Amino acid sequence: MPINTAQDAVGDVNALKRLERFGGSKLRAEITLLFLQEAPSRIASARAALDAGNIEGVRSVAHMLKSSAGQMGALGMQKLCEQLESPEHSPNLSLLLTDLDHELVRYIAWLETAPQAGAPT
Amino acid sequence: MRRLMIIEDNADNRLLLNAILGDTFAITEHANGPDGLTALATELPELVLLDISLPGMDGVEVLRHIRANPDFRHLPVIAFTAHAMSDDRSKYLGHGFDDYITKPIVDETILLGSISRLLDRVPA
Repeated sequence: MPINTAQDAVGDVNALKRLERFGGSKLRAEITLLFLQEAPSRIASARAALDAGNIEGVRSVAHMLKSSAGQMGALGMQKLCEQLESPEHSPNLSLLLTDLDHELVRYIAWLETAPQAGAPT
Repeated sequence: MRRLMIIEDNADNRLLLNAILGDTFAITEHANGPDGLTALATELPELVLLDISLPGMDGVEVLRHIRANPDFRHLPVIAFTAHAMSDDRSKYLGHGFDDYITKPIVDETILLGSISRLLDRVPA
């Protein structure tokens, strides 16, 4: 059973606007690029940790990705990372990582439709 | 400019902190605890913003090393963390951090206010 569903919110445009407030469209673009470059490799490293039986490694990567996802307004990814960190979800880690992969794809698609810098709300 | 050291392994968080603080403070940054500890004596920060979940030596251990050094025993150190459970604040203050700021940063005035309050205790 999927942990996250297609009905859940994917992204928060207010988070993107916050990035612009902190550092303009340049900061938003730079942090977005970093996130999109690093998120896939972080998910892959969490998967590798799980395959090696390193549950703490999975949680450590999830914790790092949760922070980045939160700053980017990637709500679905943030929620999944919280679940990956939580001991109560330990039996579901593989499924959660699969969901996280899918959620990253959904977030990238959402980003393409998100208002650009300076656009009216 | 007052001197701030950021110890944070997430490149996006370092970028963000630089955007928020870079016009106001002289910032040095390090991606892990040992590098930050080594640089203390040369960079002489007046405040450290310290991530908790660092690879290898975590933020609590880094703080322990800072407090063990007589030259930096009273250096203000803010815990910067995505651990945001209800009891985390008291936990980290109990470890000896001077304040506690959660990630993601939603309201930058909370961070700026904390830094300002702590720097007011340190002669410029």
